Amino acid sequence: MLELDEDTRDAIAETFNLALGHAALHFSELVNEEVELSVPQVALIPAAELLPRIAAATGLQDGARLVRMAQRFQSRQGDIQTQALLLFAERGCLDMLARLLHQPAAPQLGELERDALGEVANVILNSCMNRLAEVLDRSMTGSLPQIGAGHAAQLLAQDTAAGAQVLWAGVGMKLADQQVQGQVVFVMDMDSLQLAIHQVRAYFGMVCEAL
Amino acid sequence: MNTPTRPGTRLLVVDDSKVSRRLAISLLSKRLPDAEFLEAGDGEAAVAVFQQTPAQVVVMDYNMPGIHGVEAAARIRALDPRVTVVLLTANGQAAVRARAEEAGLHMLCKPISSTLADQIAALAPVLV
Repeated sequence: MLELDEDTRDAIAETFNLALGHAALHFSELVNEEVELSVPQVALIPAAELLPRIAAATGLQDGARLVRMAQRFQSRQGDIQTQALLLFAERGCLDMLARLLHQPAAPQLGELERDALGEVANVILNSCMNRLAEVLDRSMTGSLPQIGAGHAAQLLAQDTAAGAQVLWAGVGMKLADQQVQGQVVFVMDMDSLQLAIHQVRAYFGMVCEAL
Repeated sequence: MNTPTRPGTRLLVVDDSKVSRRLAISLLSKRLPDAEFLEAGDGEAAVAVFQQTPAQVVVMDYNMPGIHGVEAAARIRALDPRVTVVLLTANGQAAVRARAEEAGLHMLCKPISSTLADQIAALAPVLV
C-alpha cells in the first residue's frame, strides 16, 4: 500500500494549489466575479471513501443531488491517466448557471445548462490540467467533458468502483457573491499515481538544483 | 546575481507549504547571501514571528489556513508600517490584485522560480 510522507503530500498539495489558482483566474473571468479557493486537501484513500469525502467537502446532505463534470486526461506517452472531476451541489450549480446565462434558475439541467456547464468544465479542468502538465512534464490530452446530475451515490458509483487506492486532491471553489461551492478531485490509478508522485517530487527537486 | 544587503537584513517567508518555503529560501539566499531568513507556516504564526523578530521584507503566501495573506500583512504592517510585503499567490484574479494594491502590497504570481526570486531580491534593502 502506497503511503505519502509529509513532504510529498505538501508538494502535491502545492501543485494543486498552483493548478487551481490558474483555473480560478480563468473561471473568475468567465463568471465575472471572484472565485475563492480553499486550501488543497491531499490524501491517498480507498476509492470507496470518495463519496463521504465529497459529501463532507461540498456540504451535501444524505440523498442530495450533485452535478458531476468529468474529463479523462492521458499523457501522450500513455503512462499517466487521470479522471478529473468537478462537482457541485445541484441547487447551487443551477443558481450559478442562472447568473451565467442571465436568466431565472432552471428547475433542472436542460440542454442550455448542460452546454454552459461543458464550458465551465472546459475552462476549469483544462486550465488546471495545463498547469499540472508542466509539473508532470507531460503533454496531456483530454476527452470532452461529460456532464451528469443525480443522487451523489449513484452518480459517483463509477468513480468509487475502482476498488484501489486513489489520490484525493480536493480543492473547494466558492463564488464570492453566491453560496455555490464546488470541488475539484483527481482520481488516478496506482501506476499513474506512482509516476505522478515521482514527477511532482522531481519538479520541486529539479527547480532547487537547477538554480 | 548576488546582492549585498544591509547588515541585519531579515526576510520572513510565510507559506503553509513547507516545500514552497524551502524553495523560496533556497533561491533567495543565493541572491541575498548576507540576509537572514525566518519562516512561518500560516498568517497567525507570521505575526507572532514578526513580533518577536522584525523583518524588513515579508514574502507572504495568499491562500493559507486561518487568516489569508492580505489580512496577515495588514497585522504585520500595524506593527511596523515600513515593512515591505510581497504577496505571493497562484491566484492572480483581479479581485486579489485589487486587494493587494489597496493594502499597498507588491503582488507576484507563483510558481516560485528564479525570475520571481530576482524580483523579490530587488526589494530587499541593499548596501549603498
